[in-house]
Amino acid sequence: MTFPLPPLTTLIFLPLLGALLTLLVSHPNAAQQAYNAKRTALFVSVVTLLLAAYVGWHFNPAQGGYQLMERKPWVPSFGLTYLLGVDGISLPLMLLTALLTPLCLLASWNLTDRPKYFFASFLALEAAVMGVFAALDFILFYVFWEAMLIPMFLIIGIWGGEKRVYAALKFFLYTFVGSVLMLVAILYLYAQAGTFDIPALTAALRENPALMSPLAAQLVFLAFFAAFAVKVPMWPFHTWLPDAHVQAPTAGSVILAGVLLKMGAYGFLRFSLPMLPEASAHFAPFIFVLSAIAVVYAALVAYAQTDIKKMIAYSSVSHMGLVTLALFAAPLGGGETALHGGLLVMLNHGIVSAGLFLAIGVVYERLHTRDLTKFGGLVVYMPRYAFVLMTLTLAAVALPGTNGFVGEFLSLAGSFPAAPVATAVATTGVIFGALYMLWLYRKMVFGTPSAFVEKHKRDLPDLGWRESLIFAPLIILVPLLGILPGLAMDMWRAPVEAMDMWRAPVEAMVATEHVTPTVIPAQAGTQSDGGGVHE
Amino acid sequence: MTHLPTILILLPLLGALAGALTYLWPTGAKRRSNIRTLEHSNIRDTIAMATTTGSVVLAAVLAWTVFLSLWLGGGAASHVDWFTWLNAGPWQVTFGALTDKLSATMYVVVATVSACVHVYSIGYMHEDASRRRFFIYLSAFTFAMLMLVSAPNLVQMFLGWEGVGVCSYLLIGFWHHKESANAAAMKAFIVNRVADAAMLVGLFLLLQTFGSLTYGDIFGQLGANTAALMNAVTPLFGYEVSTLSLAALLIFVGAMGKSAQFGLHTWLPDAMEGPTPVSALIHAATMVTAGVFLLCRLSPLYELTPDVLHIVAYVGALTAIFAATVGLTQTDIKRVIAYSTCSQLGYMFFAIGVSAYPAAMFHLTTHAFFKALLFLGAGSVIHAMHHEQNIFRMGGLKTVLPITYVCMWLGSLALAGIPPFAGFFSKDLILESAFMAPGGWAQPVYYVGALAAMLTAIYGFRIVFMAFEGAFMGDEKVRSHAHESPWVILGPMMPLAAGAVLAGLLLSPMGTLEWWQGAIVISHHHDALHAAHHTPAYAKYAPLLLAICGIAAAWYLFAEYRNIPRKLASVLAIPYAISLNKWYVDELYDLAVVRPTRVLAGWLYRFVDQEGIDGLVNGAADATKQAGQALRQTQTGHVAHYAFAMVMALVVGLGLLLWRVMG
Repeated sequence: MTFPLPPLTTLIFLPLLGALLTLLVSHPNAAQQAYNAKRTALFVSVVTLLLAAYVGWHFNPAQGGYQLMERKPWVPSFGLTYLLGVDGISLPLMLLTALLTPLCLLASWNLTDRPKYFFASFLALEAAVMGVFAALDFILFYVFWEAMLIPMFLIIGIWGGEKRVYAALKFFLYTFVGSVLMLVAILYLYAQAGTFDIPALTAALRENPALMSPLAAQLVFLAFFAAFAVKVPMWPFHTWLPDAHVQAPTAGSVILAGVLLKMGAYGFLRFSLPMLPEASAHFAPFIFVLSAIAVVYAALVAYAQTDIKKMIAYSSVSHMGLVTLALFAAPLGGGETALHGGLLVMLNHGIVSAGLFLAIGVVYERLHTRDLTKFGGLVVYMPRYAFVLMTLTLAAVALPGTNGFVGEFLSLAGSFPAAPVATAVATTGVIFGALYMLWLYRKMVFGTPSAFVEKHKRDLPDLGWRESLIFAPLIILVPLLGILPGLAMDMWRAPVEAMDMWRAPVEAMVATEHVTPTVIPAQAGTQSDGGGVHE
Repeated sequence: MTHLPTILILLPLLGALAGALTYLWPTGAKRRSNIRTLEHSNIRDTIAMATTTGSVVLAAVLAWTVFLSLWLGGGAASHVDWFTWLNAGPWQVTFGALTDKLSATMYVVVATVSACVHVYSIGYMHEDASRRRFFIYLSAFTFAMLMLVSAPNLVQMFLGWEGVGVCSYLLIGFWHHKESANAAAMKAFIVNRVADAAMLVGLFLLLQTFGSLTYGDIFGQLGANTAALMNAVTPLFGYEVSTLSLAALLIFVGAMGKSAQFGLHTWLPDAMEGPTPVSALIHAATMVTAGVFLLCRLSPLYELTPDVLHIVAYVGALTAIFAATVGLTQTDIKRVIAYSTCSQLGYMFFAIGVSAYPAAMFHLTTHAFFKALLFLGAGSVIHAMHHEQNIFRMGGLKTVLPITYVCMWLGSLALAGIPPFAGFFSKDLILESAFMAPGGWAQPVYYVGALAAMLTAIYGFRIVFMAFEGAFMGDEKVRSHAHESPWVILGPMMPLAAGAVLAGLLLSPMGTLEWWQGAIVISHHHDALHAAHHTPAYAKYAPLLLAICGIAAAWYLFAEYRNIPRKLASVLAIPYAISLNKWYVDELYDLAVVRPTRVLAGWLYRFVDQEGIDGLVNGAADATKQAGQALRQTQTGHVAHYAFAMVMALVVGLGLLLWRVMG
């Protein structure tokens, strides 16, 4: 069976069409109208998920490079093409987006404030995110990158909490400042290489490093860095995230943590590292330091929170620190191990943090508070919920057997040769990560029900069908990807192996500058006998 | 035959999964009250108990089959690969089962004790409404422990390692309505995580050095490139340290956490918050010995790092004496046994420190039997006394609990190292090896160990005499209700009692290197084990003499003249306070680690994150706003977005300009 339409274009514009359809839903009875709009949106998002699954099915992981490419002239006079394609790096993120969107819509089912517009915004967001991951023309990428801001701005600014406008503006401005600099860099690269075509541009820059002076490359790197570091977010550019998360509605937080943060890491991986290998290597030590700080600092700050949503927000900063560490370690000795690790953490964090925000949404919907000190003993009234949250907690603390472990282990093990000290510091994150997650679980779920919980016990039914359905795919993915991580790793194995291509020039430079090999070959008599056997 | 290990490892998992499936069975009408559930034994609970207990008992039978066929049947070590877990490009991790004498011994220890504990729990947890969950956790634990010991590589080992850790966490906090249980569970997990972080770095070092984390690859390279690997160095804070030593030390820190060695032991006594069968299985016989097992498994590595072995020996000796002194004064019967476990693990570690790995494994095995017996005996007492755990509210129970009394005697004799009970053989071998370690460097360790042996006898029999001899000291109402436990509780203690009596004698070949058939490697430079045969008589019999004196002293102090200890405590006030307060380690950590971490976390959030970084951000935003307001004078419209569209246009213009200039 072949799909009659170009699959990637459909994947982007189907949700957009769905958003329009949802807006058009009209019924004299407001409740009925809301219900119809919700059903329409959910239906479209499910079809999108099926289509994404179809794309995944037809994707050939053994084949390197981009697949399902679509090329149409767009604005020929400016050299713009409508160029789409997926590879093993973008595909998992698109699948994740397609999976999380229907879950988010289901989680927003009880929304009463202008639901039609909310559901439409959400589908528009999905369209833009799909576009970001599928675009292979730099300007097209930029358009989707910026377009994504608008529905997200609306979702936080209209349907958010008390300080929603502050949070939405902060989110918008922070990311916007970064992306404007990226636009300058894109235009500069076009000036040098004469194309917006990402694969062609990457090849051109790789074949002809003389296109840019080292200084220019470093400036371009910093411009990209401004956009991606804010998006990830890396320490100390992260302060927009807790506010955005706390103020955003549950579904907004889910998609923000699950997918939008990955766009920053995706940018580093797609542009900074392969296009600017020398500049990346130049700034890598700096990034290692920021990443190690992010891992430990954010975990500690998460521990200091009493707002459960803020706690999970900071945990995202901590986990994403691991991603940036691994990605930049990859060409500097981390190799495939680090890259696999970084990609796995991205995917797994998308699953687990999405699940955690959904889980927090469940109790927020029942009790209307995020104050950890008010909770306690939820297990008495919500045993099924306790099970779901425990599964997600264990995945978040990277217990082996859950998906969290494989990514964390490979990232750290891979980064270690490139950045031993930063990695050792980041490894202590496993302590602090366990500290705040178990503290959260203990305070919320274990113990005897708090006075507050006891007072509202009538509002605390256990997970119903709709909620169980939301969590089911995530709860299945946690052990599945923990035991068979190959399901994900095989998707991106080809691009990971192709990393050698952008590693080659870097190594030549690095060998003289950065890396001190840990294992010094034995030279009889030259080394101290510190580790020797007693004779 | 080659698949027996696979089957026996997977059985507990299947049992646990089958038990967990009962949760999917709709419960129908909501259970009105716990009392009704107790009266009408829930069919789901029965199914879960049957699947878990049945599968573990079967696993125990298979474990003995594998073990005996390896030992007596002349079978060879086997290695089965299941499937590739991780393919990270240049290196892979494959799930599998490596079955040699080392893992087969652990199969027997783990599956046997686990089977006994499962059966015991049917009686002990009879009144608990959520016992189904309890059995599922127990079986899951057994599976994780078997994965740990059967692992052919360090990553699968780590899966088991963390798996037993999380099961321990869930079981310590099993009674999650108790705040103290939740605190203890979390403490156990976090302290172990501290150790695990060190171990992870050790694993990364090994991976970097060997390019693999499979035991076979590592040991092969250690054998082939010994000199080169021993000279490999890693820069650390400006010094160059031996890579192998650093890795070995870090992995030992990991083992210290799981095996509750001094410094990272604080979680183990608190873990007694869990139900007593858990203490017997996890916190006495199996999980806490994982560190000992791991170091034995890595003997080819540790043999090349003698400096680390010295540290292991000293840490072990310190733990042995520390825990023994604390055990003297605790009043909670389970805590005394917990400190005893800690102390005995110290013995195992200093055995490893003097390269007497076989002695460590031998003691691990005998200890599993007698310590599990002691815990289950203590559980029987607690069960009979309606959850009374303070030995100062017991006394004279030997007439009420005669069978338990005998079991406690047997366990304590084995613990004290009195021949021909199990502990004698293994502890004796450890002390002799320490005495005879080449160069005599470990003789201080021997003296510490001998002294600890006396203290062991004192605190061991303190429990027996306080609880079972003399006059009853507690609430008369409790005593009138006290009764010997039913056979579902006493029955599973019998195999363990048999082990406590006979294991030392029957398994004594374990104390020789040859028995292990290459699973353990000892460099001929530090073969203390062989030298132990030539121990002078005074060193050989001194510990035994001390232990007998200890028992006599215990009788005198805790059965005959019970008022003397109180006087001693007031005379020796300071040593008594130190012992009673567990050397103030918890207080020290609270002051030096726990509180500072909490303060630092809060401080980072308030001053760095909110006022520092966000202060700058908001400041920049305010400045922009003011500038914007100034500019606004010239504008007619005032929508923020318009301004930003213009900023963007400006930047684009600048970019184009740059293009023209540079291009």
